Amino acid sequence: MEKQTMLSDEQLVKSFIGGDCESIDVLIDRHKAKVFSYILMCVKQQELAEDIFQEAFIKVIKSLKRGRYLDSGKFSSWVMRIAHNLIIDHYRKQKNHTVVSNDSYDYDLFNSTKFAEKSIEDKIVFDQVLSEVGSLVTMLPDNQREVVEMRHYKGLSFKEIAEETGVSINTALGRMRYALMNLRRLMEERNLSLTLT
Amino acid sequence: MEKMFTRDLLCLEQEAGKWLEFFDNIPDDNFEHCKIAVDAVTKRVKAFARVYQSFTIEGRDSGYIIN
Repeated sequence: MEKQTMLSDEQLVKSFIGGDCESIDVLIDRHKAKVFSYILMCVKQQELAEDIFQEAFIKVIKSLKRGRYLDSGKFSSWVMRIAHNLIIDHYRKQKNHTVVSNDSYDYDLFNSTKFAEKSIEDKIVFDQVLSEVGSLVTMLPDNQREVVEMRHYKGLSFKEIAEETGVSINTALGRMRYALMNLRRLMEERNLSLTLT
Repeated sequence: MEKMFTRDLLCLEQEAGKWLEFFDNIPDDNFEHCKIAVDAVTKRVKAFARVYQSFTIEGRDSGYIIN
């Protein structure tokens, strides 16, 4: 093992491919801090970072044993790129599964009257407010109405809105801003107070 | 309503890309004495390296574990 620590990454890679398992130990020990720090900086959760770290090195091992590693650059950069791709995969998987965790709080976030079932009166007020807002939204210019509907009725992100409407994210944000300003103006003109408790 | 919440995926991806560039530019030697708590994971990965065998079947990569 001591002998291997003197070898370069490329020599260790060749040695591992040649069947020397201690070479991969040295490579992992040499680069684990850099790779793990990068993953943790991105995902900010120890357990998740450990999972991605493990998956990244398993991919590294599989690729090396399949002869997929091309000696075309730094070994650590290659491993970092694998970790990066796994982080992106994780983000994309999470896109439709946003989880709210209660674990980090001393009190129960969800044990609140705000989440309790609404009374009939609350429901009537809520429906009325929604209907008023809905009618105000129809008065907006088409491009602003479209952004409000996509954001608040379909729940799309501004990036998704920008893609669907064929404009930049800044334009979508600008349209939303004008839409809100117009809605506020329309409410004032009609003396409407749309407050939800 | 199809979705109530979405995360700004583009922003997260860009942030990950910037961190990648940042870390990639730090020389590997700077991490030599850096202490991180991933002993259990590295142990598992090292063990995997010893038991995993790859092979190709009909042109497709595959692998198996020898315990």
